[in-house]
This record gives sequence, structure tokens and C-alpha cells, in this order.
Amino acid sequence: MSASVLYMSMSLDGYIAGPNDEPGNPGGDGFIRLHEWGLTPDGASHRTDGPAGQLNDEYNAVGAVLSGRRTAEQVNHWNGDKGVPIFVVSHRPPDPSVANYPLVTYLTDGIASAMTQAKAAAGDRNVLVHGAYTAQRALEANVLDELQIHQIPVLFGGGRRLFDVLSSRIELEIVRVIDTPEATHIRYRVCR
Amino acid sequence: MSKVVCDISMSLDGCITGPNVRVGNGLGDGGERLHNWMFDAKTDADAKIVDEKNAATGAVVMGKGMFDVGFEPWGDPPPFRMPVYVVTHEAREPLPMQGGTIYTFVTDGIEAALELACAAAGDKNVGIWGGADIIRQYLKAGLVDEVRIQLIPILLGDGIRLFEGLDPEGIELRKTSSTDTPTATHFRFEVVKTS
Repeated sequence: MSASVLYMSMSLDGYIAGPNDEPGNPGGDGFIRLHEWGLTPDGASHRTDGPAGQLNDEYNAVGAVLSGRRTAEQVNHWNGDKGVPIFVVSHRPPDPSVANYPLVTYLTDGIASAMTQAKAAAGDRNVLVHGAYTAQRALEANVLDELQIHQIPVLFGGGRRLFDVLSSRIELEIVRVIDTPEATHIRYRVCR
Repeated sequence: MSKVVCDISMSLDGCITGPNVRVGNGLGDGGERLHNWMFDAKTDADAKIVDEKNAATGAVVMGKGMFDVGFEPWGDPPPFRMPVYVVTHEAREPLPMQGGTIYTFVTDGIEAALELACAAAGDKNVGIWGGADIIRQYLKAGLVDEVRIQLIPILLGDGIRLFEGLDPEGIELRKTSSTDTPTATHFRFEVVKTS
């Protein structure tokens, strides 16, 4: 059965992007610190071995991507090629350049409908969810199944929070913990 | 050797209470959920963490806000069973309780409170047990050796955030252990002394 899974690296104080997150400084100051765990020591490629390799493999095994617009635009829609359909939730139509990316679809009819379409496209594989705003709306609409949080032992002091004020309390269940010096990877299931 | 240790339970969204904290609702709406791991949902591994913490701690420092909302529910005897130093602006006579807890009110700042607590603790640790504001003040002043966070699998949605507004300049953490139980992920971080 396919699950929707949020994948995010987060600082101990709850940030997924540092201060001064703007064009030319994607992810803000110190952003790379949140993602070093998944990269080779030279930073040139993704780790393929050890716990980080396992997590990267899981990340790459999804059947569809559901992303917020901000995240998608910051990475240029993964150049249109993540190997699977990419759905972007937005209130506005896409930039015309997106027409060059046949695997990218903009959905403007809300998070619940978007998740239904992403799950249909993913088949029996998981849907990878990206973006803080989109994650919050998916939690509130009760269409997020799991959270794979990479907890990084650093304080950012400002930036973009993964969890802002939510409309209700949400109980989670710890499914798996993988601990390394660089990160503690905790997988949670949303209790319904 | 004696250490200064912050210790607090925090939700995945960074809150140490729910919203609407006040006397009579000390942990805010739904905030008592953060402490289930010490009570109803306690596993053997959780019990060991609590027992070790209590045995290793010789004195506690807390903020006036935490004292005000905690005093009544903690009752008499309070659960501390050791000296407790309350950082406050209001002078007040020490308040001895049953079971070894003595509340002492310190009006000349966080460093003075810590000095008293260190003297009382002897070779045991001093616990900075909250609230959020007092933990931030001690972290910012470079007076903390270790931060322990029990990360609880709940999104409270709103409440008092532990790290709200804390400028991390000069505060470097190194994770020294992580213990996972079904009820919490128990982190220990060493505060790396850079100077």
C-alpha cells in the first residue's frame, strides 16, 4: 500500500532553511549543514553506502513527488527529471518554462485532491512530499501518512520552520530511528 | 565531575508546552502529553533515564514562570527532593517543603543562582529544568555543559518554543548519545566550549 512520506532535514530548533533564504542563496545561510549527512565528504555526490545510502535509496524509490511551489522552483523542478511524475501544489498557474518538463504537473485544486492524484501516479510505491508549507497543509488535511525527519544537531536561530502553528494537535508513532553522529533519522507514522 | 545540564521534553515541532499556559494549566493545552514518557507510557528504558537523572542531580534551577505554574501541581512533598533555586525579581524567604525540597528565591541573576546551586549540588550535577526562557538565558551565557532533550512524537501545533529567538552564535552542540524508546527519542548534546 502506497504511503505519502515527508522527507525533510531539520535543525534542532526546527528550521529547514536558514536565515536569508532568497534567490542566489537557496535554503539560506548554513543550509548545506542540514544536508551534509547525505553527501560524500567532498560534497560532490550522494552517499551510497551505510545508513545514509539506505536513506538515499529509499528516497529514490518513490513513485511520485508532491512538492510545494517554493521548493520546486528553488531546484528548477529537478530539471523536470526525477524519473517519476512531479506534482506541484500551487494557487497559481506555473511559470511558462515548466512546459518544457512533461513530468511536471501543476495542481491548483487543493492538497487533498493533489495527494489523490500523486498516489494514483505512484501506484504501489510511496509519494515523496517536500516543502514546509505543503507538509503543514497535508497534515491539516489528514493526507500525510509518514514523516522521515533528519534531525541535525545544530541551532539555526532563524529561517524557515518545518512546523509553524498548526490548527490541531497531531499524534505520531515512532516507526524507526537510525542514529549517526551527523544526524538522527526518525521515521514517524501519523496516528489517525 | 559536576556538570550543568539542561533537561527538558520537547515536541517534534519544538514546543515544551501547549498554548494557553497559566496557573492551573501549567503545561498549556495538551502539554501534559510531553511528560507521558515519564508516567503512563513509561518503559523500562524510560524509567532508567529518569532514575539516572534524579540520582545524578544535586540541585535544580528554574525560572519564576515555571515555579508559578508548577508550585501547586507539584504539591508537598514536591518531586524534586533536593534544593531548588528559583530565578526571580521578587525577593522572598526560602520555602522548605517536605521530602528535602527547599525553594530558594534568587534575585541577583542567573549566575548567582547557578553558584548557589553548584555549591548545594557538591559533586552532583545542577539541573536547569526550565522553562524555555531560563534555559535560553543559560545557554546564551555559555554556562551550560550538556543539553538533554527528550523529543516526543507529537505535534502540539502551538505553545512555548524552547529555542524561540535564541541567537545560536557561539553555541555549538555535539550529539553524544541518542536513546530511542517507543515513547521518545532521548538526546544528549555536549555544549562545545570554543574559548
